[in-house]
Amino acid sequence: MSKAPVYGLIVTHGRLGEALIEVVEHLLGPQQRLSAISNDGLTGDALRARVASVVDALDSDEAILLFTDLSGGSCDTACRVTTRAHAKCTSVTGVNLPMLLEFCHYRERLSPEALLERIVAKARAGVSVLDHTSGRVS
Amino acid sequence: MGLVLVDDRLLHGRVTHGWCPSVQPHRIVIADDDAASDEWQRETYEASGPEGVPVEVLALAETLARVTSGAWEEERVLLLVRSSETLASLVASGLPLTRATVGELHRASGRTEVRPGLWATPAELAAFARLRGLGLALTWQGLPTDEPRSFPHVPD
Repeated sequence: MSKAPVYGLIVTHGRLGEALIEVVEHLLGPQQRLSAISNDGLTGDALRARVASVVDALDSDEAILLFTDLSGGSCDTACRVTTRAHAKCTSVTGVNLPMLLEFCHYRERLSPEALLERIVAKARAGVSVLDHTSGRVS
Repeated sequence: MGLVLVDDRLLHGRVTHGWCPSVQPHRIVIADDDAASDEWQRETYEASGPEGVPVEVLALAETLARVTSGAWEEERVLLLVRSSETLASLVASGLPLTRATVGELHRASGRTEVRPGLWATPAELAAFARLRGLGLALTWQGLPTDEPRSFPHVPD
């Protein structure tokens, strides 16, 4: 695939996105085309403009995946509205470390659609419970 | 009316997860001409409320019409507006209110920091003053667990 790998933009509350990238790079080494925006101190409009400015800076044929932390939060709202306006954008809520690691592992190998399916499955599978009494993991 | 919140993010995490469990609204109404006229914003907000709580995004005139017709008389409504100017316009047009809460107002062009972490333009401050003049009790409170503070603070 000669096209640039899918760009990842993490839009979160506080310094969550920045910290996630720090941990991903600690585990995998330096990453290209991955950045974070915080909603800290921003109006809803300003946050939306900031997300749009990252999207607009990319070429029109470059895919971008917007990761947000909380469904229904200001970050999610900003990303969903941006996604509706830009064909190259997709947004996904509930970002976690397994999701991001999978994204970085596979974004150069898979189509954006297959990549999305894979990272969402990985994020869900990343939640498991060990029951003390039975010793079973579910 | 259950709670009237002035917040420039309108419906967001602190409203859904902070205010809603305490207010337990039957309905969330976003009164905003800009959001109501933009299909994508409208649909996004309508899908962003807590489970089981309908969200409506309405133009100011429509909001007033609903209140006047008594559509929400039996309901606890959480009403969101993005600025004091919007609220002053609603009240001047006949929205019957005795109190409103100021949530988050962030740094933006033309705004100055009027209290630590709270930003407003001169026009917004004037609108707050008009609201007080109309007899509204205004408090500044980010979350239900925060101490409500009087707003706007008048320096000595």
